[in-house]
Amino acid sequence: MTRRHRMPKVKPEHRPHRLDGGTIRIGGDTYGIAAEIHDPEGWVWAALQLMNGTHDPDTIATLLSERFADLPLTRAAAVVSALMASGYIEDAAAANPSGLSAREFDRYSRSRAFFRRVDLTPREHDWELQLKLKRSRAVVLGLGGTGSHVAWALAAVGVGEIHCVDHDRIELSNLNRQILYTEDDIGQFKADVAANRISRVNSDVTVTRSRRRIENESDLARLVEGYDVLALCADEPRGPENIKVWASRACAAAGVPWAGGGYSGPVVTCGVFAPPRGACYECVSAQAVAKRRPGIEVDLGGPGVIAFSAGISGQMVAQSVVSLITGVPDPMPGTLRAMNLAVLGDHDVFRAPPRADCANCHPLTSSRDRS
Amino acid sequence: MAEERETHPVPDEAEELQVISIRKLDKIETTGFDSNSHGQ
Repeated sequence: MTRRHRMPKVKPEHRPHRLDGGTIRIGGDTYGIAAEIHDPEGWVWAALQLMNGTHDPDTIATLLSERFADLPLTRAAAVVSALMASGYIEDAAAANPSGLSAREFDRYSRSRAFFRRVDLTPREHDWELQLKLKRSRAVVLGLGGTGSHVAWALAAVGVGEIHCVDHDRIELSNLNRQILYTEDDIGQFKADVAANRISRVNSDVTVTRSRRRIENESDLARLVEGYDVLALCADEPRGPENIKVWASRACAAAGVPWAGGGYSGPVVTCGVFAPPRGACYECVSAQAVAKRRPGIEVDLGGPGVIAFSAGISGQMVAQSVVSLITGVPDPMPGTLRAMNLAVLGDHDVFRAPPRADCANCHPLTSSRDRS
Repeated sequence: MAEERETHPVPDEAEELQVISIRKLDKIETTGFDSNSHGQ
C-alpha cells in the first residue's frame, strides 16, 4: 500500500532533471537507483517541482489540476501518489524518531544520507534503517584480517550489540592488515583489544568479547544463539568439515543469516547465506566447485595478504551484514562474490539453486541425520 | 490449465499504473561513475 507523506519532498540525493522530449531523469546516473519518467505533458515535472516540502499531497494535486486543463483532479492525485510510492520522495514533515539520541543523529547523519540515496522503499522517516541497526545483535567470529575490519565497520555504522570472538593473540606480522591493533598491543588477546578499540570508536554500541576457540558445529550453534546475524571471519579448521560448513549448518538450524569472507592471494571473496532464502553455503560452494576443471588445485595456501585485500574482504562482509539487517540493498542470500585484485575490473558473482537433498535448504523434507 | 484469477487493485494503485511509468535504467544506460565523488 502506498505510504502517504504529509509533506512530500524530493530527496536531495535524487534531484530530477529534464532531458530532451520531456523525459525526466531522477536518481542521477547510478545503476539500481536512476530511473526515467516519460512526461510529454509536463505533469510529472510540475508535480516534482511542487514536492518541495511545503505542500501536502492534496494541495499538490489541486495545484496540478488547476494548472493543466486536461488533468482531472483524480489523475493528478494519482500522479502524486505514484511519485510518493517511487522511493524518490521523503516526508519533510517527519519528526526524528525516539530511540536515537541527539548525539546519534549527529554521528549517523552521513549514514542517513547514504541510505536515503540507496533505499527506494517509501518510509515514515529516513532513520528507519539506522534504528534497525541499533536494535540488532551481531557476532564477529575471527578478528584477523577480515574480522578486524568487520568489527570496526559494524561499530562505526551503529550495530547495537557486537560480540567479538577470537582465541588468538596479536603478532607483529598481523599489523600489515589488521586495522584494530598497534605495536603496543602485540602479545595481547585480539578479542580484548578489538572490543576495547571499537568501544572507543562508538560508545553508543554494546560490545562484548570472548577468547574462545570454536571446536565444532555445536560450539558455533551455541555462539549464534540469540543473535540476528553472524560475520564469519575465521578460516580454521579447514578441510571437508571446515568452519564454513559448521556455520552453514548451525546458522540454518538456528535461522540466523550469515556472511563470510576472506581471500586467497589476490582473490577476495564474500558470501551471504540465509536459507531458505537462497541456497546455503554448502549448496553454492559445491556448485561453484563443480564448474572447475577436475584436478585443478585452487587453494594454493600461503600467507599472501595485504592491508587492502583484507580491508576489501572485511568491508564486503560488513556491507553484507548491514544488508542482511536492513534489507538495503537486497543482500541476495545464496550468493558468492569475488574481486580479483590481480586484474582491474575482474569481479564475479555466483549464484546457484538449493540442491534437492540439502538439509539446510529443505529442513522439513531432508532425512540427513546430523546428530 | 492455469487458474484464472481476477485481481482487484486498490483504486490509487490502478490509477498509478495508467498515469505514470517510472522505468529503472538498465546497467548499459548508466556510466557507473560520478564526477562529484569525494572522500571525506
